[in-house]
Amino acid sequence: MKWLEQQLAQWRGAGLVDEAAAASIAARYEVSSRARAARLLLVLGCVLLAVGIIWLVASNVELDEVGPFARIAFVAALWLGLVVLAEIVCGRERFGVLAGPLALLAAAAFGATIFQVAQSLQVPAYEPWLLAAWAAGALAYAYAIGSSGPLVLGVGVAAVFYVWLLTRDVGGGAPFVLVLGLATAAALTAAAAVLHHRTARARFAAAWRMAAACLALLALGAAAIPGLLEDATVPVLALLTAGAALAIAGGVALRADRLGRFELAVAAAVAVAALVLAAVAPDRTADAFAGERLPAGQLAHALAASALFLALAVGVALLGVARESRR
Amino acid sequence: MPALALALAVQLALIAAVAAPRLAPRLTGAEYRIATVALDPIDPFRGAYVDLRVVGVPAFTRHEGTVYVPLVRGRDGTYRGSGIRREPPADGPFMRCHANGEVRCGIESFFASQREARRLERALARRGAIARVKIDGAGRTALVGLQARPEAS
Repeated sequence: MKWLEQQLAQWRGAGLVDEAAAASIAARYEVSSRARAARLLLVLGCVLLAVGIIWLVASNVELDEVGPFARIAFVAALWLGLVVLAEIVCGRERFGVLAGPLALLAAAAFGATIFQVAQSLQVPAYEPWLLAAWAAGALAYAYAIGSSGPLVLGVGVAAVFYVWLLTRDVGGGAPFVLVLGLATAAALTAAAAVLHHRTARARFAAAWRMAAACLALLALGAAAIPGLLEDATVPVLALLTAGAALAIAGGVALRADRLGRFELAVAAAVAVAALVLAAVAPDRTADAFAGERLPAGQLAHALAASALFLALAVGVALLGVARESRR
Repeated sequence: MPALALALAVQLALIAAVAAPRLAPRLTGAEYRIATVALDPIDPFRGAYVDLRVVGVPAFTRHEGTVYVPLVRGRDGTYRGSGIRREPPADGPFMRCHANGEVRCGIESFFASQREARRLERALARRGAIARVKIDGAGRTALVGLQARPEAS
């Protein structure tokens, strides 16, 4: 608002707008900023409610008279009720602002239904594929109705699922494979973000770009850990997937605008840097840390990883500025 | 509207995919009482549960992928695992499991309320547990109940 007031004063001085027009413009933006604050509070409230819906299942409240299938029916009714409610308010002048938050709640309630079904049927605990089902459902819903809330939830849950699967299946002896998996995912999500700029769902690009940035930062973080490369074998499937991701990102880059190509180049550079860092990581055997001082190799590796991490964080912020987006 | 209907169909199919592997043995399988040992942890998305291990099934294996655990009946009438095989046994009940370092037969968790899980944990730690498991012809399992072993008379 301060910036606008300064601009209006300059425009009045230059004779571009009169007093009445300046007051009218200022009033319009005051209403707009209040609406943004109200929307922010609404979204925050819905995020808390979404967490509450998942906890409703996790708390497994002791109700003797309510059987496992009645619990599924209750949570599923909540999910479908929220879907219907979001559809009813969508596009209405008075309650239209509620459509996005209700869609977010509906996507969260879909996840609660998945977990309730799994709980009632005694599906073993810590099963990452339940998160995959939740993410796929949330993404399908997001693209069907064009709502950002379910998209952010879907992309976030998908990223958590992927990292969980990767860390579970890779095991402790192969940090290079972990970094390769994270770098591959970062390149693919960056390609997805760039691809969205050419479609009707251009505003969905921000969520994919954020996921790409988080995965790239995770890849650099994992690469900073001193590794045991000599003990690790890189599975052929991981190499094939990385190659396919590179081909897809290259294909997207050919059709992208200049900024899109720059984003993909940054993603590729980060992936290569993370892989090089992981490959040259000093070993972390007890002997390497036996002395009182950190060995020079370990120190150089940690400094290089920290510098790259910082450079990527700044780069993501600059890309946000270039895209005129806060994400 | 057609896009929303398609998305809902996808979501229902995903829920069915989560339910189907446990629903099929529940509906078509025969029930076995299997000797187990138990602990009491928490899943952040689904709450308190009792962590189960089937007696006679090694916790870890070098096998990868699908494995089979034949079940043998003990003198007390409960069933126990009898090692791990790559092929299903020609006769007798068996569980179809997945090995990836550890062996998982789909009956590792019994979800209950916090209070019930704690009560079960105390009773099961003292006396051991008997899991009621439905198993279909393909060896797919569904855990339908859990009880403490009767006190030795």
